[in-house]
Amino acid sequence: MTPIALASWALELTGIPVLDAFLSILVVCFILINFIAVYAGISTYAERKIAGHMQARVGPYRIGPHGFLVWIADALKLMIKEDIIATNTDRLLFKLSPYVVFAGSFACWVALPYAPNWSPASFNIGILYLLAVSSAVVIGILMAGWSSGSKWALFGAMRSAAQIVSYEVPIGITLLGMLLIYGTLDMQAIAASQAKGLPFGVMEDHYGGLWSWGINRWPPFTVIAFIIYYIGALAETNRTPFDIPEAESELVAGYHTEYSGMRFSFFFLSEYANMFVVSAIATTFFLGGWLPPAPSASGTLLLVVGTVVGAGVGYGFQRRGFDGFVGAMLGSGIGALVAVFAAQPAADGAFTGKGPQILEGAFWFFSKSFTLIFVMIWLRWTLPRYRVDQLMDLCWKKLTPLALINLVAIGILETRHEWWALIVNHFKAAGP
Amino acid sequence: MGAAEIVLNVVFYVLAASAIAGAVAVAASRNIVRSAFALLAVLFSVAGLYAVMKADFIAGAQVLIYVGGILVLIIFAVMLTHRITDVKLSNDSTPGPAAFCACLCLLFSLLVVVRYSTKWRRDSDTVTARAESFEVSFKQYQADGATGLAFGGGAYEDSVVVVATVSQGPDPLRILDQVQFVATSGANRVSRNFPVAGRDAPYRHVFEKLSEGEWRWTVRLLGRQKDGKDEVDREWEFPLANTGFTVTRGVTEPIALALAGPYLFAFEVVSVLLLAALVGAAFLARKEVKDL
Repeated sequence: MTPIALASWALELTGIPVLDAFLSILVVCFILINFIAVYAGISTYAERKIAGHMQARVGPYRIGPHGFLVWIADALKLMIKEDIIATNTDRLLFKLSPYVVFAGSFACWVALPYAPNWSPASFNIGILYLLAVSSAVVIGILMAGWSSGSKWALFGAMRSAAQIVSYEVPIGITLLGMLLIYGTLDMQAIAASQAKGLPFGVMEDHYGGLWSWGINRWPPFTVIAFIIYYIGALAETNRTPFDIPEAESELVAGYHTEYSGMRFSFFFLSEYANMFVVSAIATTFFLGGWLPPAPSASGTLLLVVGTVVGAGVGYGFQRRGFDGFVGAMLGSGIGALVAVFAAQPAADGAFTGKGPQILEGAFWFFSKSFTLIFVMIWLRWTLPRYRVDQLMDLCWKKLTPLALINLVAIGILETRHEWWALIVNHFKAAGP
Repeated sequence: MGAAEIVLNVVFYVLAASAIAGAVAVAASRNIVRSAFALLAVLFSVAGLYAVMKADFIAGAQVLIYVGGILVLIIFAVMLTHRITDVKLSNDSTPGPAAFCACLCLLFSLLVVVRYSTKWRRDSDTVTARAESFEVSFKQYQADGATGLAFGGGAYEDSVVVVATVSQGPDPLRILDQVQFVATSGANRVSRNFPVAGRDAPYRHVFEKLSEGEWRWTVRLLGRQKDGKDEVDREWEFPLANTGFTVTRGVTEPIALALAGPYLFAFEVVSVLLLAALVGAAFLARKEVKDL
C-alpha cells in the first residue's frame, strides 16, 4: 500500500522543486491550523450548548441562529483583549510556553489517518510519533506553570504533568496490546487491517463491518482496553472528571491562571486539539478508523434504518419503561447483525481504501471521532471531579494492573490463536 | 543535486543550528530552570536529525524517552528544588581559553574517528557477469540523502542507485546499441534505457520511489549481431539478483528483529537492571511507617 501524502500532490506550485517542497508543507500546515481553529471554536459552542441542555438551560442563544456564531464572537473577544504579563514572570518562558503546548498538539494532527491512504504525512512509526510529540505538551505546561511566578499556576502545572506522565503508562500498555493484534505502527495500516475478520479470530476473510473493528477483536479484553484507553485519554487531556490541574475551586485556573488574551486562547485551542487527537487515536485503534460500520453501502443503509426504527419504536414505548436510547442500541445492533451477514461487498476491494473513497472515509473517521468528543463533553457535565490521591490510585493501582493483564491476555490470544481455531472447529464439527 | 537533497540539506542545517544553539543555551544560561527548558530544543533537534538520516524509529524513541520521560523528570527536580534560581552558577575554576581549546581538541578527534569509522553508504559487492564477448560489472548502493520524509511521505529507504560498467572484448560481429537496467519485484517492473556511451563507460541510474520488497536486478544489453551479411537484433541478459538489497520501509523491522534476536539476552539483562533500579528507588523514597 503506497500512502498518498497530502504534500506530494501539492508539489506543483511554482515549478521550482525545492520551493515547491517547502511551500507545499506550508500549505498543508496552513490548512490544518485553520481547520483546528475552526474545529476548536465550534467545539466550544457545542460544549456550551450541550452543557446548557444538560442543565435544563438553553445555553448561548443570542448571536446567530441558536447562538451558533458565539464562537466567532469569543475568538474576536480573545484577540482584542489586553495581553497582561505579570511582574513576577520569567518573560521569555512565559511568552514561549503557549506555542510549545500548541506545537505539541498540532504536530499530532499531521499523522492522523483522515481517510483511506490519505494523511498529511504518512509515517511508518505513526503511533510512536503521536505518543512522542504529544509529550511536548507536558513540557509546555510545566513551562507555563513555572514561568508564571504564581503558586496556583505552579501547582496546576505540577498536577497536570504528574497526571499526564502517570496516565501515559496505562495508555501505552493498552495500545501495546492492540499493536500485538495489528503488528504495525502505521496508522493507515492499522485502520485498513480492521476491514476483515470477526470476533475471536473466526472467519478471518469475512468483511465484518463493525464486528471487525479492533474493539470487537477479542471481547472482553479489547473492550476493556478501549475503556482503559478512553479513561486515560480523559486524564491526558485534563478533562473532567480529571480536571484537577485547573480545579476552579482550588487553583483558580491552574497552569494558565496568569494568561490572558491570545496566549490564553492558545492553551484553549490546544486542549480541544488534544481532545480530537486522543479521540482520533481511539477511533483508529478501536473503532475501525475510516472504515464504515457495515461492509457495503446497502449494509450501512440497513444499519442506519435499524437505528432509526429502533429509536422510534423505543421512543414510542417510552411510557412503558422503555428508553429511546436502549431502543436505538437494540435497533442498530439488529441492523448491524443483518448488515454484516447479509451484505458482503461485491468486490474484494470495497472499503479497503483502494478506490476514490476519500470523502466517504473522512466522513466515517470524523463521525466516530466527534462522537467520542461528544462523550467527553457529556461526561464533563455529568461527573464530579476526582481528588488527587484518588486519581493516582485509579491510575497506578487499578488501570495499570488491569492494562497489564489485558496485554498478556491479548498476547496469548493473538499468538495462540490456533488454539481458538481448534476449539471453534471442534464445535463446528460437533454441531448439526 | 536533486530537490530532495537540497530540502534535506536545508532541514539538516536548520536542525543542527538549533541543536547547537540549544546546547549553548543549556551551558551558558545563568538560570538553571531555563537551562533545563533549553534541553527541549536540543532533544527535539537531535530527533529531527535522526529523522533526516531515515532512522524514524530512533527519532520517535528519542522524543518519547528523552522529552517525555527524562526531561520531565529533570524539570520536576529543578523546579521543586527550593530557591534553585538563587544558586550562583559559575565554572570559573576552569579558565575559558583552556576549556575552549580542550573542547576543540575533543571535537576534532571525535570528527576524525566518526569520519573514518563510519560506513556512510550501504554498498553491495560488485557482481560481475559474462556472456559471449561482454562483461558487465554491477554495483548498487543506497542513494545519498534520498528520503521521502521531506516531501511529506514516510521515511522510506526507497531509492537505490545502480551503477554498471559494460566492457566488450574484441568482437567485430556484435554491436551494442543500448544498455537497459531492469528492476523487478513480484509483478512490479521498472526499467531504464541508456544509449551506449563508449568503451568502459559507467552507467548510473537512481531508481526512486520503489515499493517495499525484495528487488531483483537485471542488466540487458540491446544490440545487433552480424549473421553472415544480415544484421539481426539481439539481446544479452545479465541477471544480477541477490546483491543483498531489499527495499524496506523505515527501520522499525530491523530494530525489532535485532532486539528479539541476537540482542535478546542483553535487552533482558538491561530490563532487569532497570527494574532493580526502580525497586531500589521506591525503597529509598518510601517512608518508614511507625506502629501507631
